[in-house]
Amino acid sequence: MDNDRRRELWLPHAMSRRRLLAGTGAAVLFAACGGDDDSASPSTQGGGQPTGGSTGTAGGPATTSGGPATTSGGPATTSGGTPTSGGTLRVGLVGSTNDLIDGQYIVAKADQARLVSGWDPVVNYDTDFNISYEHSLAEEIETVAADNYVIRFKEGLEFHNGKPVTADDIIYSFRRRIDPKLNLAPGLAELLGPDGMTAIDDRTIEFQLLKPAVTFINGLAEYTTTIVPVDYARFDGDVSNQIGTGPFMLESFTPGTESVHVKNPNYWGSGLPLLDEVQIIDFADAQALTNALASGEVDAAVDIPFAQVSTLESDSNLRILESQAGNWLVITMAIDQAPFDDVRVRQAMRLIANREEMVERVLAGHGRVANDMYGVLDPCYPKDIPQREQDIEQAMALLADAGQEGLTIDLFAPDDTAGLAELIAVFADQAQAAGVTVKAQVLDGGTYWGDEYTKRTFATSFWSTRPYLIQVAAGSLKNATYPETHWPSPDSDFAETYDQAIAETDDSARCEIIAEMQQEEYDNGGNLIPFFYNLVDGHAANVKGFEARPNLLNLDHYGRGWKNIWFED
Amino acid sequence: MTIVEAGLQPGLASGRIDPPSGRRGVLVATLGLWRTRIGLLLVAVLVGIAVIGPLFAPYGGTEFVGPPFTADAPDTLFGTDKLGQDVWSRFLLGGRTILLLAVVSTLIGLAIGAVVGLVAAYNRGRLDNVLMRTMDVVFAFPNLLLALVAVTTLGRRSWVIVLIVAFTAVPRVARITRGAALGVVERDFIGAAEALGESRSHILGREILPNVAGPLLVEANLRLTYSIALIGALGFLGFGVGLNQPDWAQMINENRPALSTAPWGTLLPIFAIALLTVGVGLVADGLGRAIAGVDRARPT
Repeated sequence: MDNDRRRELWLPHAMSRRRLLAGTGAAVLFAACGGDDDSASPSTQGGGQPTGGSTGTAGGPATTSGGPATTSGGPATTSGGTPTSGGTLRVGLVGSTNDLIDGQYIVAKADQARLVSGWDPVVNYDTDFNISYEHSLAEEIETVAADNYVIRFKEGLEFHNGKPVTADDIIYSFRRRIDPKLNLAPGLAELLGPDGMTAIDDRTIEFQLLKPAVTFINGLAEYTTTIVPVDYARFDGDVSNQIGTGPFMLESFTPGTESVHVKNPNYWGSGLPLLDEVQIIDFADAQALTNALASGEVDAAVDIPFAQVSTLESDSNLRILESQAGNWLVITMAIDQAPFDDVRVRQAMRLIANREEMVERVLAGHGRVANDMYGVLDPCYPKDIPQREQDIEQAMALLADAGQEGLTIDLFAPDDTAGLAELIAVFADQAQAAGVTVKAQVLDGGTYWGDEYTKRTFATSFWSTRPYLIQVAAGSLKNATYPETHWPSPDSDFAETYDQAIAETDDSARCEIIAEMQQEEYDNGGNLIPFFYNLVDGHAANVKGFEARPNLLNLDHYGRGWKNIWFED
Repeated sequence: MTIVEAGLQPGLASGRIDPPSGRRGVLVATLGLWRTRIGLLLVAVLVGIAVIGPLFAPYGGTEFVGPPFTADAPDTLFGTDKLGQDVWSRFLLGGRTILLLAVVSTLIGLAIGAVVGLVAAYNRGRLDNVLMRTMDVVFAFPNLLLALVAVTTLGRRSWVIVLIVAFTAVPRVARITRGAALGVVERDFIGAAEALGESRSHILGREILPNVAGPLLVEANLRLTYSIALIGALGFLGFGVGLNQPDWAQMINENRPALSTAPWGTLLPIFAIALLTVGVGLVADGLGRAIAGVDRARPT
């Protein structure tokens, strides 16, 4: 299905881009009125370390504005009180009857929250987005070569039912991930064959890849790369087979209504989880969810519409949890179609954009300015490339050089993704100053993500946080999953450079190659990336343990499966 | 009047069956009613805002003036909206579209509906049946649903909205016109006109129409209120015209999430649309009462 953005490279959150029916998902981030946008921003990696004492926004550039990362349960409060056990946490999110539970796959944000409750990842990221073994099942990963890895798992891991985790389970888990029938992680399936794993001992597995790819480790850090017992299958009405290694066990689940998760008595993390029970409750839309949080019907809510943040902040019983993330919206220019086949016209568009104003107007300040490059949380993100600023004069000069002064052009956005319609409206407003007439057109989501998607000259899209190289494979190669800008141009050696990078096991050498690639996209690419937006959630003041820090999933990575969350009396 | 007399005095063929006090009398009676006066005042104020308001807008409709949804943004009267634009300016600029679309679609609906009703009443028989049963079918569809289907399939264009709103007005106008005209076509002066060999269009337009003008005028006002409401509903549901163009109905939808913190972006257009509808409705009501002579006995 070409309108199906169920993707990815082994990045799980695949989120189908055409967010179907009934608002499957969630992220009505920006302004509540965005319709039933759904699906979430697929994020990719894991979030920050829980301990480590970093306050709020460690690691990332400062938030542009408004983003004071009001933590609630930040380190200060956490250490201020002694964590107590017990209690039932009620978490609200936007969900639908399309919700599913699968220990290795999600479609919408509701699914993310439920997956993280029951299944731990193999590895994950720390706040600086380096690979971390904390909260993870693996003890160590040894990179033997770019196509050969040895993973040793922690000792004494047990499933919910007390059965020890064995090499068979681990191999089954990876085979399930790459099973072409399930299609959970097509990107991983390109790298790993079903016979690529050998058990060295009961907790150590050797992986022989089909081709060199250092991004294999990023795939391991996906929160959907989990360990399930042999013969595990997706929820199909029976909770008893929903077995994982995570802090909570599924007790009941009604898609579109709620799920109940109870404490895993066999959890490997000592003394955890603290809560007795977690209820994950579905709401039809962000407005209903926000009202439920304000009235105390739920203890925590995923995705507060930006417009509501200031209202909720003034309520002393509530706390806003704002995390920097690498999620981005983008205006895409097809580099092989007129007028954007001329790099001067692409640059002119990028110079027309007043990014600070876009952050203020589209995100109500809940984000930070971007520089036409993605992968901002990747440790290899180049920090020395100058910030592109609005420069109407130069934009007009470039347009004149290209013979395009007074350009009139259609710019399209879907109606189902919060922020995109607003983004093109603001861009159209800003373009007037350069004498460019942008006809901003909002299409019905089904039409937008249909046959014409990736074929339009001037359009928009959204992406979640991914490591740079994985994002390149998703959107910036000729054979990318979603080649929105038709990058790279035929005379560029970008694709060869990518192959080089992905085979480079030395971190700093790889970062140098990535910097080169980023520079080329910055100079010639077809993405106009105005900003990265924050994840903004809310919770009751007496809920402790959530920390505001750079993160990939909402609610502080869903409290890492809620295991660190507790109630203050 | 007899046919013979009418034949001798052709001028009388254009008979009128106005209320006793005559046309001028109806207007006077209508204006004498407080409800009409209030209605006219409301309509005048809101049409005034829509028509000359734009001249007084302190900012452009899409100009960025401050943080979004800030009720007390500096240098603004009513704060900012969803995209940090000035609520007051957008309010002043936003009335034209809805008013223009409503008036044009009502006129079109009125014209078509009147023709259908007159033809049906005059011809009776099979044509009457065919026309009126067709009207019943159209009548059976919920207006808003029909409009949504049209806008979704044909696109969000002004002409689509105008035509579909006009279309939903047709059956009601046709029914009222036919009902009123039925009593007229039996009159002798129609027979006289027929005997004189006047064309059918002359009889419909010059003989019957003036005699149903009263009810039609009332209906026109009623249809206008419905058109405003329907176009407002479409705009609210996001099927209005023009992304981020200032428009009362769209403003209500866009600014609704901030009703508790920055209410003016929602409240101003709500009041405007509500008062406009009420105003037009009061005028219709006054006209109807004056024509029917309901309040004739009461001093005004």
